[in-house]
Amino acid sequence: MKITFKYIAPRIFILLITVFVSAFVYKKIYWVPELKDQGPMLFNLKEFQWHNDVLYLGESSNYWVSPDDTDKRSISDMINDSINGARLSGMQVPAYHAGMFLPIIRLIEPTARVKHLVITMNLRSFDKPWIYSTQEAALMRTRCFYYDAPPIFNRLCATLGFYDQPSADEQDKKMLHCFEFDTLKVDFPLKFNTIKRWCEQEKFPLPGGGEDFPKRELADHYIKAYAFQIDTLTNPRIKDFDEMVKVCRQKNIKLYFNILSENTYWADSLVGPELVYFMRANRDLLVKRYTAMGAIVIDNLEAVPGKCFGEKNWTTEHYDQQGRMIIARHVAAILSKEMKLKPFSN
Amino acid sequence: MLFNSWIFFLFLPLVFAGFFALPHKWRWLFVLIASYVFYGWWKWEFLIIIAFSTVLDYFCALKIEDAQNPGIRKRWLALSLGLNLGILFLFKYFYFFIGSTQWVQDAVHDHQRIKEFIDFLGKSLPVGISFYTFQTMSYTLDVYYKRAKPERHLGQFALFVSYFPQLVAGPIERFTHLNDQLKLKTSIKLENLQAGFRLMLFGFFVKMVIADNLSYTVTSIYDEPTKWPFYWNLIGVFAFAFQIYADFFGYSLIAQGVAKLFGINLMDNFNRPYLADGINDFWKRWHISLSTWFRDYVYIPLGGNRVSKAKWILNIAIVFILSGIWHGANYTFIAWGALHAAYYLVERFSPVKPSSATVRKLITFFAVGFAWIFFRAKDFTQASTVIKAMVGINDGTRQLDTQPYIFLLLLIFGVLELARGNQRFDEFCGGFHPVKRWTLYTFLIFCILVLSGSEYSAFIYFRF
Repeated sequence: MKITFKYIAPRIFILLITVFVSAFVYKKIYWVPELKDQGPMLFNLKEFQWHNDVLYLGESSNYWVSPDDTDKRSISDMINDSINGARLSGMQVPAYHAGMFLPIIRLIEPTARVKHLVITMNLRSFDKPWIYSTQEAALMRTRCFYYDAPPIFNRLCATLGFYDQPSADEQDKKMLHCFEFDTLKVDFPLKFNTIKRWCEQEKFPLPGGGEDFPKRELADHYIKAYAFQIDTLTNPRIKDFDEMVKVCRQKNIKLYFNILSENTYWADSLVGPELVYFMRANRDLLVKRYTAMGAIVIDNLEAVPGKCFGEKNWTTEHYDQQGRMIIARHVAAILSKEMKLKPFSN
Repeated sequence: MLFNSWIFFLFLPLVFAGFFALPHKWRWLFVLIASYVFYGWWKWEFLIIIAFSTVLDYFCALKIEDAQNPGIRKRWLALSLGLNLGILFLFKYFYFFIGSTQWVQDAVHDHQRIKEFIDFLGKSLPVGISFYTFQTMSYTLDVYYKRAKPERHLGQFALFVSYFPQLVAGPIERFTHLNDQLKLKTSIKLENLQAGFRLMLFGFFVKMVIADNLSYTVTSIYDEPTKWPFYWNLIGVFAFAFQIYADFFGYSLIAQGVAKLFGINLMDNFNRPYLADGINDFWKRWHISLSTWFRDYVYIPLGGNRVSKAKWILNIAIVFILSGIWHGANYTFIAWGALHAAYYLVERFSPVKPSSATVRKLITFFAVGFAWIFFRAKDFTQASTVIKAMVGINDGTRQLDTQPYIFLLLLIFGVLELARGNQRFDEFCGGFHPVKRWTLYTFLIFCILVLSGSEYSAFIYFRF
């Protein structure tokens, strides 16, 4: 039997019909329930963009509450309660970074009610441990569900592995390479100009010999997290934040970057002022860059005192209720000003 | 490269087009390069091992053929088997049985390079190493036993070793079956395309819809057996029986389908194994290319059943335990093999056998399903926790949120398996009225697009 056009055409036609019907059925029946697990931020966006004036996009900082807190509200809930005449909702997924927020912003409908976006700008998300995180492949898989494409296509991308899948080994290798070879360039004497050398130094000698290991481990972790200088040409987060500014401008959405508080107190006491210098320098760079690009940068880097950090033995942006309230009030004040909202009468 | 990856959907049409566009004399080279690309996509460094294995067996086989003296023939065979098994041991078993032991770790503590190398071996298992090693070993053995003439064209032999549809997870083909087909001049034939696409379609359905959907239930149960009630543990254990079957059967179907597009017939690796009415029958239906390999190259050379009863029992135990070890470096695999050996011997010596075939099938299914616990568990602790939870000891109360439609799909898969009888899926479909056939196709495509597991997951047997 020969393969003729007459033979192939009806088969291709049936295949196309099957694909279209599948796409339709998937979108109507399966897509939204699946998004709840696979693409939670888009699941929320689909609803929230129509009922809110402001959306707050965050990671675990807008999720975590201390077990001792009497006020369990998230930062976004606190902001919502502190602004008068506008409605704000938070959308948060742990470990999300600019690369995950960007496709979500692209999906905001032009006719949506939301016209203000607050995006958390987590300083650590610019560092190598986060950029080369072993979770990146899982995040990239989730990002498939956020492409601006037919839902069934996005699903196929996730199912067939059409996304970056750096292995944990590769990621670790890249991170360690950066620790060893990325030099810190400053205009004051810095004894150790790479993370590796900085970490190798003895830090907390004990009187009887040896070192205070837990303290040293924490200090090293702080160095790995904050001893870096943002390279605006190569840092992937910069590319994503820059793109966010462009997208928001096109969509006529006012963009606010909320630079989250870091524990500068611990950074100073564990490692020294040199480390705080890098934190501040990076913050200054971000404020300058994105203010110049037309976004509103809310600088909370040092707003939260050290005692308000939820986890004392790690670098996280998890705050107790007092810490969350400090950030929320600051953001709410700026939002109120920009949105020309009336203050609460009481 | 995985069959269920986007890149394969680009790779296959390109290879297909390139293959049939080229004159016959260059096709072997083209498919060889394509096969190396297919394998190297995962980690190109491990192509060195395939290349080494290829060159080694190529020369050893020629030396065996040319040698007149039986002693010399034996020495070349020993060299081939020793090096092949040595490589396999180094990459697959060395770390587990030796490298990770405390005394080795202590001994190399101050030797950073050696330590790094040992750790590298622990982390790096070349995909499909057991499959292609067994395939090349069978070639040398066949030449030694004069069942095959050696291939004198190195490139052609390299293609036999690395032929991409069956390179990483079989079927473990015999030289005499595959090599001659690889040399045949073929053209695009409608019947090959039909059969190939049918097999691939069913293979993708079985893998992506059945196996990948069951994966969630199985993983949830095995990760935390004490969280779920006994009945969920039971479901999880037997869900794995279907998951591994669907995963491996799916792979084999796709492999057969892909090869068929090029006019190559790969052997059947499964024959509805859960309908086996005994363990002996099960092993004639499950992973046929491996079980026949062990039969031909281990069991029969050991004397098979033409030995004393005690020796025969030992032979059975050796074959099953080796089969367990073949799967991986873990004592649980040995336990799995040993359990099958015990089943086999009990079946053989049992004075009474159920007269009803259905009862025998059920007993076999439950026995095999139980043995899978050791195959799936990462260690004996996990296996015993699952077994206890399965019978209600230390089980939990939480309910698993498995989608009910998965069990419906499993049922449909079961019905299709029953309906096709002993026919292969492509033959089964071929007998349908076109309307019925295309209804089935559209259903399978719909399931793949809409209901497949949303995780991108490798085939379970890739790690063997």
